[in-house]
Amino acid sequence: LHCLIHFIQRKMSKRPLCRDNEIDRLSVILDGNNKTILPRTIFLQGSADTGKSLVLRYILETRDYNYATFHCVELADIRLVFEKILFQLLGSVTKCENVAEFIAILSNSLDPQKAYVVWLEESERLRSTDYHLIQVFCRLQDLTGLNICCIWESRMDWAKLLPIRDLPSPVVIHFPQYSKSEVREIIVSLLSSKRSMQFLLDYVSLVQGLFFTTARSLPELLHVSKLHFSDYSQPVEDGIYEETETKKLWSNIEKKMTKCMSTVYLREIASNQMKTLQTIQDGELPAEGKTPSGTSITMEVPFYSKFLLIAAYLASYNPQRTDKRFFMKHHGKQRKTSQSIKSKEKFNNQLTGPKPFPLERMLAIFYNIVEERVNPSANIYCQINSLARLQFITLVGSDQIDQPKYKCNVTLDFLRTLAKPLNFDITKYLYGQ
Amino acid sequence: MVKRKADLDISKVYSHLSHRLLGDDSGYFFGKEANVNELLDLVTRTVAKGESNSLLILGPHGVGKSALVNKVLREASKQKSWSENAVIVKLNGFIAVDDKIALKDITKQLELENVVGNKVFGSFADHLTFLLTSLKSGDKDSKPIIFILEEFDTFCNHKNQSLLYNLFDIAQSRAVPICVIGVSCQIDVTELLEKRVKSRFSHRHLNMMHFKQFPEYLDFFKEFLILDKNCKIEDYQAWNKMVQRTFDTKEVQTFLESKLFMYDRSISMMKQFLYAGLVHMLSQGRQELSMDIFETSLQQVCASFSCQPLDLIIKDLSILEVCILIAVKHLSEIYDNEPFNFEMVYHEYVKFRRRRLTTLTEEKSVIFKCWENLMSLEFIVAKVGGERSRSQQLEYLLNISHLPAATLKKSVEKYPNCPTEVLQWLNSSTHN
Repeated sequence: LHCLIHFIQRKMSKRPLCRDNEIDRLSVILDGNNKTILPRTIFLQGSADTGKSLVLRYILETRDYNYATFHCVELADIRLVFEKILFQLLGSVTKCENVAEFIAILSNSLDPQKAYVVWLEESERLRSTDYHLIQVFCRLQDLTGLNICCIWESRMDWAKLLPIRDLPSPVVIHFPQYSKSEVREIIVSLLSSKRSMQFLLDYVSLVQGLFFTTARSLPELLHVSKLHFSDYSQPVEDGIYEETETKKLWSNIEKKMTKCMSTVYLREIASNQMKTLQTIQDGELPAEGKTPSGTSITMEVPFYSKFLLIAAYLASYNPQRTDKRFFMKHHGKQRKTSQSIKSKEKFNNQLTGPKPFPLERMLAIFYNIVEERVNPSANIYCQINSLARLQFITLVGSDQIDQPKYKCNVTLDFLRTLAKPLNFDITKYLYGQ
Repeated sequence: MVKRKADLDISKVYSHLSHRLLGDDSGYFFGKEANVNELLDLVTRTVAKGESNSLLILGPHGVGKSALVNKVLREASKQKSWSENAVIVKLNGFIAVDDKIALKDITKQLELENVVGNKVFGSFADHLTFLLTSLKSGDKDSKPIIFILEEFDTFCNHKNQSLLYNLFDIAQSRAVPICVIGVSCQIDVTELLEKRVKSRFSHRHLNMMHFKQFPEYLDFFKEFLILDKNCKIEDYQAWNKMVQRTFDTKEVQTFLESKLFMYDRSISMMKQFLYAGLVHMLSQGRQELSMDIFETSLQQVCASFSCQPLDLIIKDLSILEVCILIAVKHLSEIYDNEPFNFEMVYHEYVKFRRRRLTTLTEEKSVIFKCWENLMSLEFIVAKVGGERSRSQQLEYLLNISHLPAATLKKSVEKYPNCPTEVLQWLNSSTHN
């Protein structure tokens, strides 16, 4: 009975939407008839989330192929590939040490009259291994004498996978990204709701209009649509608006949607938390401060550590000769140097990254910016150590003789929000701003 | 009724031709009579008269070397004395990565596992001679063995080239009659041989070349598609006539010459092309080959020699990612291909966004995610030899672009519904 259910389930698996061209082509090549010879290799190429695995699985399942699939990110050892594939094709655990055994076992145990498929996902990772693996999988049909086809799936094009020796060309099937209308169709079919088709279509086209320049991938748009659908249809449920008054419904959730735009792709917090966060008005922010994306920083450091961190940042991003000017009361006049050097330095500082600085310099700046008088105690050095362990500052080089050099790893935005309660304006001390 | 009959024909034609065009070469190999005869002669001399020989078959990829070997073996097996006497051992360089594995493989193919048992041999040479002398047929001398070494150049990378040395040594010393046939696509593979190995090699080469002229190429094309009486399909003459008609038109000929023959003359590319064409024809439910079928199949097969895949990938990116790529292009132009990091690109992008297109987002983390997507597609690659990434934040890691500016320009211009501001930014790096 179990087999029967499984059998029926497989036959009823849904045909993927909007992929008719590719399904037709693959159906001709992999037509499940044991008499047709399969090509040596098929290459499925397309960006992420274009439905390659979906289509392939649909075809392989509905045609009852005996297939083995392997995701190349699991390729830690060469034996893993072989043993996993053999397990899926033969149904029993077999030990296999190297390529020779793999080919021998395959040619002995499999039926030459039947058709088999080996499916490699993310095959661009095969490049990092011994290149013979790529060659072997390309010629699997010749080496074993069976009717076996190797399907490579990748985001990149075939030319990037080629090793130094050439490979026999595969049959390439390209999966283009879904167009706007196709995306609409698919999302509408996946949103489960009792509303009318027009309502759903309008909603999805509104969402799409806002997000399409930023993200084209289907899961992303689906996630956003699902997240806000209940809010959108809430007024219609309550009876406030009609289904067709899309403009009013949209203006209802517009604010939330624009906020959502700044966190496309990022799943920093769960969807529930995001909803509660969006209901908080701006005035009620917790004192910890928020990043512009609406998530709050959950990191806190003690009082002196904040100043130490600011000192480290200034030491990293200001050139040494400007210290005198910023931090001493009686600095001399600024000599006018040539304009080109200044403009070049302006580009360099913020954009090329933090520079290493000696510990003394950071401490000197630190004592300067803290307004009260601080004793140089072991407490301070402890805090420097804990900052280093948090990886806010990193030790650079292994100089045992001279004093240690550090580098600041924190971004300006993070520092600003962290230092907000100190009322310290860091931009005044930055060179080149 | 008639239409139904023709439909059946096409799928039968397809399955018959796919046997020809895909993996299995057996039963179908034509041309190159001189090569066939030479190799056949060599092999039969080994078996019939006990002469030892060695030969290398060289030629570029896809020219038909393995097919030649298979054809010769098939022809030779029709002879009388063959099946009783000859033993064939096939080794492939990708499988036998080591001499020990190669020896195990030979043992298995000679079916001498019982004889060898658990014997331990002093040296490689002992082992090999033992194997070869174990095959005796009646009271005659040892059986003649034919060794076929595919991917011959990989055997040259083994330690001491011991397998090759021993094989050629035995071939020269006339102890056991063997014939060593090496197949390789590296034309100068004899340079890889050590001196002692090279001296034992007979320096017989069989060079195979691609087509030189287009008419021969075209004839081959037709030969692949023409069916004959043995195919057991009813209306095969109609199919043959259609094939002749299509290939006689001037349009098809110029297309094949300029688009296919110019780039890749190999027989394997020809087969791929025809196969893709047949699949396309069948999936569209058509009966005849025509120009547009050829054009689409060229697109599908051109994976290795055209820039189109890059176009297709770029067409699938979002506008934000396209903007990042344009910013990268401008940076590389202004600073003369110096490596850049994320912060610089972000800076450039923000300048564009503030002045021209404020509907895009300025959120750094979202843009960084797009940046990582571009890195995974290898349009932007970390510069090797720069600072190690462990000690640096990801935003400041130096990178170089792997996308040629001309390709980017072409693909963005073809991008559907591209905002005009982006197109203008593509062409000029000043913002005004």
